[in-house]
Amino acid sequence: MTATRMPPELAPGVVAGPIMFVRYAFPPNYHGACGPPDSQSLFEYGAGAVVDAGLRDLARQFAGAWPYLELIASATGVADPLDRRVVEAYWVGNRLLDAVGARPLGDSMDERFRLRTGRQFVNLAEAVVAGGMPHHSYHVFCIYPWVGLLGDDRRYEQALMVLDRCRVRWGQVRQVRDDQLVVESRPLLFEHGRLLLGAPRIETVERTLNGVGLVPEFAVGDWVSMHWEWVCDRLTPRQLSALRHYTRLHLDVVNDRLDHPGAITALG
Amino acid sequence: MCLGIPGRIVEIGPGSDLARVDVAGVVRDISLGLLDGPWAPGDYILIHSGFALERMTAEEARDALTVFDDGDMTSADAADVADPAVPR
Repeated sequence: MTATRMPPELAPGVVAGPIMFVRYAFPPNYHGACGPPDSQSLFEYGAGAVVDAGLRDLARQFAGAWPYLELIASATGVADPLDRRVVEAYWVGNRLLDAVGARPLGDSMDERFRLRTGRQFVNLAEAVVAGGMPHHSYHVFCIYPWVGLLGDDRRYEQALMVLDRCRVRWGQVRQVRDDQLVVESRPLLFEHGRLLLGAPRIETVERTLNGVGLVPEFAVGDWVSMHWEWVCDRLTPRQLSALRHYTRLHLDVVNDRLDHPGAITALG
Repeated sequence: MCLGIPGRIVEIGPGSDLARVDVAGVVRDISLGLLDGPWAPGDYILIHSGFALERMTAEEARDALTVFDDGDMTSADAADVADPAVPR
């Protein structure tokens, strides 16, 4: 086994909110898909478990996630958008989401997207009325344009790949390697016009960058969260249940409750 | 970035589906594979998650960027479009 450096945790499985944010936000940032251009800085904050104004500034540059953190915090009376409870609510899910309410979410969507989407905004707003909550799966399934591209034969494959990897998914560790985990998880499928989770299959995900990891040791049998091709965190039974619940909620919304799922494909 | 952002192709190899694209001042690799070419430097596209989703006219791109400029467009928005598409 090669030496792997891992950051400290406040207690087993418990890290400060900003560090939890890094664990989930780093994977898309690594690809340049979200947040500030310098992913190495973000990674170093997570690896060292360092929380300072610089990390907070980086987090504010996630134009997709940050407004949801602000919304959850303000709607639930939490002062800090990077409070661990708020960060967990957005990426994994917890009861804070149920306390946000449809009107604040609708107001947030209006402020962020009405001007950009023009007459299409009414389609985007459907998901709020249909029970959407400010969870990352809402953003992926109800706001991103990719659901609307699933019916296009030419774009289907890439659309499903983006949706599956951009959602935070869960799985159970089957093998621990130096720099990777072998995980059993359920892939996102699109069958008969519906998004659903398929039968469990094995996938391999990254856990370190140049021998440095964001999460301390894993063990076979652990339940973990994953984002793009990276493992994000170990999941407690409560977190696993929440991630499943809010993911299924937004799959239900996009499958059954919208007249125009994926209608927003372009700027208005 | 959530709904797509305009970009301008600055460089593309012959027959390539990957282009270097100026997105609000940040140059990123963007896949053109979901759209029909031909492409040339100076063409405008609408981008999401590293893919071009629509071809745009210069006027459409300018109008869209005006919307961003009136809102909260930042360099981070520009960074929000680059390629996550190809898992390592």
